[in-house]
Amino acid sequence: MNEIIESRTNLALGNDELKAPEAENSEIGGTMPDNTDNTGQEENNIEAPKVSLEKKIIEKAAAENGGQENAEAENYELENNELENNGLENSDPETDEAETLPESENDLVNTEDVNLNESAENVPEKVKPLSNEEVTEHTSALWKYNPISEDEPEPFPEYLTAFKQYPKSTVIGARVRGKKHKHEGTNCDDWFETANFEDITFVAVSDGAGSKKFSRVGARASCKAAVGYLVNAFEELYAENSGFREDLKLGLSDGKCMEACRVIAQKARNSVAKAYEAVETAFYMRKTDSAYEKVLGRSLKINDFSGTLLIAVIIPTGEAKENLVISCQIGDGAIAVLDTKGGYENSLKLMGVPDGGDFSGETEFLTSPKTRTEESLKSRTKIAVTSADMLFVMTDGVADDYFPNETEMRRLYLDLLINGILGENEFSELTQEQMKLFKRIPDPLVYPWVNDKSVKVPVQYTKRITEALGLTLEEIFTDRTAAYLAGLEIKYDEELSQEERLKIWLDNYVERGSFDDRTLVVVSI
Amino acid sequence: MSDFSRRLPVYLLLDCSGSMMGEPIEAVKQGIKALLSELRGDPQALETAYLSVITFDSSARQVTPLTELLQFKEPEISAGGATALGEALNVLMDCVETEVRKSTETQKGDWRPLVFILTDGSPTDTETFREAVAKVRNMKAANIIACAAGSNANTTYLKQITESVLMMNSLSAGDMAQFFAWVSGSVKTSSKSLDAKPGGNIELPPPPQGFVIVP
Repeated sequence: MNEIIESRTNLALGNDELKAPEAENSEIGGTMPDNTDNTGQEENNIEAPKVSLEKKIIEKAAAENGGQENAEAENYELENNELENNGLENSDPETDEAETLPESENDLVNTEDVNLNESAENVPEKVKPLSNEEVTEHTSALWKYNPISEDEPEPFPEYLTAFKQYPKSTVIGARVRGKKHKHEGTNCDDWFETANFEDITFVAVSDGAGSKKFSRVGARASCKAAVGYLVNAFEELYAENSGFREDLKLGLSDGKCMEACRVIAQKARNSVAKAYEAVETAFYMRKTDSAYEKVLGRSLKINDFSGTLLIAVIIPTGEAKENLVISCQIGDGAIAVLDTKGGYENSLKLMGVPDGGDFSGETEFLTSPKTRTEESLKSRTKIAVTSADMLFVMTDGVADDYFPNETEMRRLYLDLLINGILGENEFSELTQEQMKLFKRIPDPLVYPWVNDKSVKVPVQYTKRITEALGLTLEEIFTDRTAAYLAGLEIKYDEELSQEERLKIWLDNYVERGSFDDRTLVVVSI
Repeated sequence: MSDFSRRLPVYLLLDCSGSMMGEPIEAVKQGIKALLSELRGDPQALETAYLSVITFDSSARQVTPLTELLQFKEPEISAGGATALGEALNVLMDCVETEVRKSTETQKGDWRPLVFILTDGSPTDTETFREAVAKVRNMKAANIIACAAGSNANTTYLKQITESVLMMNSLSAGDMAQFFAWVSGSVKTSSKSLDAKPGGNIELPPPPQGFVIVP
């Protein structure tokens, strides 16, 4: 009944270099509840990314196999002087050949304006600024793919995906290594876990601190421990007080219901405490291990395992489509509930406030003592009774691309819809009017996949559609015709699972200045 | 919804006083070229860093406004005159005020600017300098690194501006090249560590050999 999901890609399974460490089971052995069945791992529905990506190729790539990936990547290393001489014009033959971008864009890239090395005397002072797309189109050829260094202890798998059908919810989740880490050949620092107890869903997401080389160890330990604790805690709660679910039905104005909520909120906070204990345990287990010391050039500290932690618990109240959602968030990232079928205005609720605010940054972590005080945890715990049908938990690698979260999480939903990850496309035959609208929708943007530049992955963006059609986010959220039409251009192999699609999208959508690890867990409730 | 992405503003404050005439100023020009070429090969820097040049001699001015790396044109610079470092700091503060985006409810602001000061002497506008320094220290709006070049550079003044002061032995082309290589390394590092601790102090790579960190 209780399940801890842990999924790996074939890449991780079939390739020793990227194999997830066996040590993880022993590590969590002490913190995981005894009744947790770790054998329920999902592996069968996951394919190596290359295989699935090929299904998305719109241009036939030259036939080569995965073993050549690295050699391939190196060909794309632009020499500096080459870059100088060519300005924005892509000097790479393969990329040139892949010019499938809308004409309007090529027009924008006026080489006169952006010529890099001519410093003629009569150059006008004001140059037309480059659009973000023009810059990312240029940088897409420069991002390299480097596998994780073999000297690193506990290398993390390149991808994590999960699909879980629980009694009252469906969870899809994916985590991809950020472009920055791929470029540098370093590990992904994100982790996520999901589990259930009967009809209750638990999600934990963590983003290891980018400045700490081993933060990934803390991220994984905290997620596993938090979710493991919650499964156990709710089982106990049922055993002690089977009436608490009845109390939840009474509504938040009722004293009994409030008491039940209080107890549940306490469990959420406890899970954070347990997560920290697990991080501590992980630290003590490795403290004397020279492998870590060798990489750091000093002895390991608990802060080396710093990370954020986002917890979400979803409990059906018994009323139709109504759920109690409890969240606790430490550090940045986002937890949001979205009613995809409701009106625009009240459709979205953020279930956590990232730290920092105006200081922009200074992220607090699970390892900072002041974040774990009872008072701090109370202020971080949110409870909502909601009729929303979707819950998102994500690291800042995704959340930052949807800023401000208070409005833009709706755009995230639409992006998932357009890119074929959520929902069915409702259009098979188009009316004349729809056809007209369809023609005004810009083509998807196509960039080479960082891991293998010969693979081109089309991604469509709500932002581009609203811009092209002159729609507001509210308009396209309310009437999704344009979104569905845009989705027609994104085709997958029908066999490709939702979580694989999510993974491919996370791995390939391009935002300027966004090169962090990306983790997104979507719970349909 | 804003279409801006967060930028890492980088300001170069370059001494163009008379003593820089000849080889040193040529080395500075080469340095800027090399810096650009280096940064343009780095996708992270290209997506985040913006560059501006402020020069100072008997007065100070921004010769290149904060500009996208891909669009940056090397400024025409020549040496001659005094060392108005104080005025340069005032120009810097004006530029930061007008060019660097602040966070709002709907837009994430730019990262804290990175400022590199290169001088081979000491400020000649001491009164202006004193006032400007007080304001710069108060603002704390930027990570400032000052580099004293050659034996005539006065580190005491630079120490008033920032804790991070470097000394390079000579104004030779070789030293200058190393300095700019280090600047590009620092910009790259900063554009990488942004997600780690934005706004906070950044860890810069160790200075090149022969450069001394002034305590």
